[in-house]
Amino acid sequence: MKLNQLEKGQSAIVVIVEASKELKNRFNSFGLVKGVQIYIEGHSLAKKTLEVRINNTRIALRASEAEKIEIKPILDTMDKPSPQEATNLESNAYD
Amino acid sequence: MIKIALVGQPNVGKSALINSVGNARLKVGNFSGVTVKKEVVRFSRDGYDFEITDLPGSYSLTDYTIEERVTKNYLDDADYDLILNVVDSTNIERNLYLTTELLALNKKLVVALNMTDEAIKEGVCIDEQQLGKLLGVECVKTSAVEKTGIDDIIHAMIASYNRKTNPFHLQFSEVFEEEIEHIVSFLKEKKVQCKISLKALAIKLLREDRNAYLRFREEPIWIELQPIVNEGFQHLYLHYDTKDLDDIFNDEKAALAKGAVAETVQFKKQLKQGVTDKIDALLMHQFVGLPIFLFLMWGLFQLTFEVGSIPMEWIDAFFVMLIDATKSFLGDSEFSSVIADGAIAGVGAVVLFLPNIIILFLGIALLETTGYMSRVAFLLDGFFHKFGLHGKSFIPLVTGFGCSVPAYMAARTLKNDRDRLLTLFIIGFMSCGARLPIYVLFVGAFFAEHHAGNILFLIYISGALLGILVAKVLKMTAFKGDDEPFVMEMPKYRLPSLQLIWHTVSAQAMMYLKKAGTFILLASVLIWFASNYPKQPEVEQDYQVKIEQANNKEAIQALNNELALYKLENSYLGMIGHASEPFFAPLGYDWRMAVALETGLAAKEVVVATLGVLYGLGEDNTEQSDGLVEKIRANVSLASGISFIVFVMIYLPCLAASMVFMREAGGWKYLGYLFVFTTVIAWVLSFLAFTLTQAIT
Repeated sequence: MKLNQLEKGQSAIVVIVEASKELKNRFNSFGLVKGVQIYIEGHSLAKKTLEVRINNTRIALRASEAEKIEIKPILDTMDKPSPQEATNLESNAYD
Repeated sequence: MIKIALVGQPNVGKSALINSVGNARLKVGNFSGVTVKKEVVRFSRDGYDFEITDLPGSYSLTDYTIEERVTKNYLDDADYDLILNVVDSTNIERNLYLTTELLALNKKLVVALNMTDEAIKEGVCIDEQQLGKLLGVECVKTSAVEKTGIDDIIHAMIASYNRKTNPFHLQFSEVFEEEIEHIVSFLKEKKVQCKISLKALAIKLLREDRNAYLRFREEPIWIELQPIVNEGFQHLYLHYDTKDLDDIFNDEKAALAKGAVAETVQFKKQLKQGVTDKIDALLMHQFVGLPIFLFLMWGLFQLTFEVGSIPMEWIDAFFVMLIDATKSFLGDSEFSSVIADGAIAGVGAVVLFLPNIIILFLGIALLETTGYMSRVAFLLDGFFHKFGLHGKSFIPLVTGFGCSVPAYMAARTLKNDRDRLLTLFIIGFMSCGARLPIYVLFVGAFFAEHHAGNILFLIYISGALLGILVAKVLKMTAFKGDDEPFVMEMPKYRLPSLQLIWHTVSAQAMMYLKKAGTFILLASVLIWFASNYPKQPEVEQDYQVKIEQANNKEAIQALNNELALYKLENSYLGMIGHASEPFFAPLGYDWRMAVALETGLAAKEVVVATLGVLYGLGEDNTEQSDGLVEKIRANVSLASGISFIVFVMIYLPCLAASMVFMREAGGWKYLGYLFVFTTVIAWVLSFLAFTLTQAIT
């Protein structure tokens, strides 16, 4: 399954990133690597762009790029990030 | 002098940290050859002189954006004593990726664990001692907001600077270390001498670093070294189940960061919905998000050009006064004219835009520092991507409707070269405010009053649509290639620091004044010269006599106009106008319209004034004066008029904008392209407009 096929609120584990070297390095520097847990924050209109979260980092990417990321969905956490990820979640300092 | 390279990922509070060092002197400039801002901070502490170079924020040491390229090149080639790596404590794992890359450089390194205050609130506890031991470098907790840890970091830098040895700290996985060890022990046996440590050299060999290979290729030792390295590769391929060395290294880096976090960081708090989530629920909403953004943009735009026009009037009045004062002080001479009408008027025209620039950049700085800019790109990218543009292109393009000068500067928010150039090329299609008087004049001359508003709207809209189409065409031809990836971080929302905003805006304003000012000064003097020379003393004397003999004001006015017309027609500028007549003839322009267009290269406001002079009126014509409208209607056909409007819509913006374009695009070459490109499109479309209108009427 590819990352762009996930719905808002779903989580998954990244299986493999099959992209050009440049894009792969880019993903990498944001922490998007094999084995990390990824959570879908939302889509833009027409699902052309999506927002995902890895640990504490939110990343925006195009659907065409998300297509290059093979994932394995985590089924039992359809609506909430997993507990271990939850501990990493932010709360803004200006609360 | 301790020279320090300041490195960190974007949004880690790097600049804020440096700004919180007391008694520092700041110098702002550019990295050579690029428009990336270079800030150098100097200060003294404990008997040491520090010089900190603030390198642009980079996620990793690649060359994806100009910023990252600048940082990478600086770290590779520049002369510095140690690296200060600023890390966001609330997002430490990802930040450590960059730190591991810095460790691989084998330079002296100090890590500042910044945003400690936020980390504490979020329940992130970092054992900095342990982390320091693990990475083999000193780690210090700091907070730019609360100004804590600043002294500690300075002491750490002094200690690191005074340390004689610089052992290699980076510890890879066992498999990897084993292969490195093989190569190192071989190099040791062979007593290979090297500037960097043998371990760093071995890593470079395993990373297939070009320079490392070039070093060995010519030496006999290569015969023996090659099989060892090769064997290393085979082991790694087998172990990692891939032949992509980048993958292998990225895996290593990720494992290293993950391991370090697991051992030294504790997350103590449970999930609660952060402010960012709440704000995003509204601002990133599928349906409400876009309207909110458009409203904010509209506000910024209004502010830029409405509020901006108030000080603009003062500046204008000030320069008019200055010109008059200079003239009366220096008397009526050539020298006084070149100073007043040439230099001061030209510089005045540049300073005039300063309020716009300041307000606009204040707005952009707010958008960027709060973290909203990335959301904007997210919302708009879908639409703009269809035309080969980037979501962030929106802001420079909209600004272009006000004035091209700040618009070109606003394109800096685009980090990728190709995206930025493409945007720069089509900003001119958004009709700027200075073209409005020309449109008003011609629309007024040829269309009924109740249609004027619609026609004006049509002009603006068709310009914008044309621009977007052109972007698509350019993307398919000149800027052809794979789409640049659109992957970016959406930083947390943060309250901007006033100090930082002031700092950014004032730096932009200064750079604008300094660079554009010098170019404009030169160019204005040149244009003054072209429109005033060669002199016609005899003709002038004739007219002087006639004017003295004239008995009423109108006759004097008429004679003055005649003289001005004669002088302009016979100046170098007039000659150029006549010479270019054949070029413009197919579009239906006479030499006067040609000259008007050419003076419009200096500033679009000048077009109306020039037409006024050339069609025999006083020099202070405005678009409201009925006289000029009548004259245009009498002298210019409808087809020529429409064709003129089309040409004005498309051709090169004013001199000030052209100079800024050149600087932002990165060279004369691009200005040349832009000139040819816009002129060709303008000519072809004007020709079509002219022929079509003629055919219909």
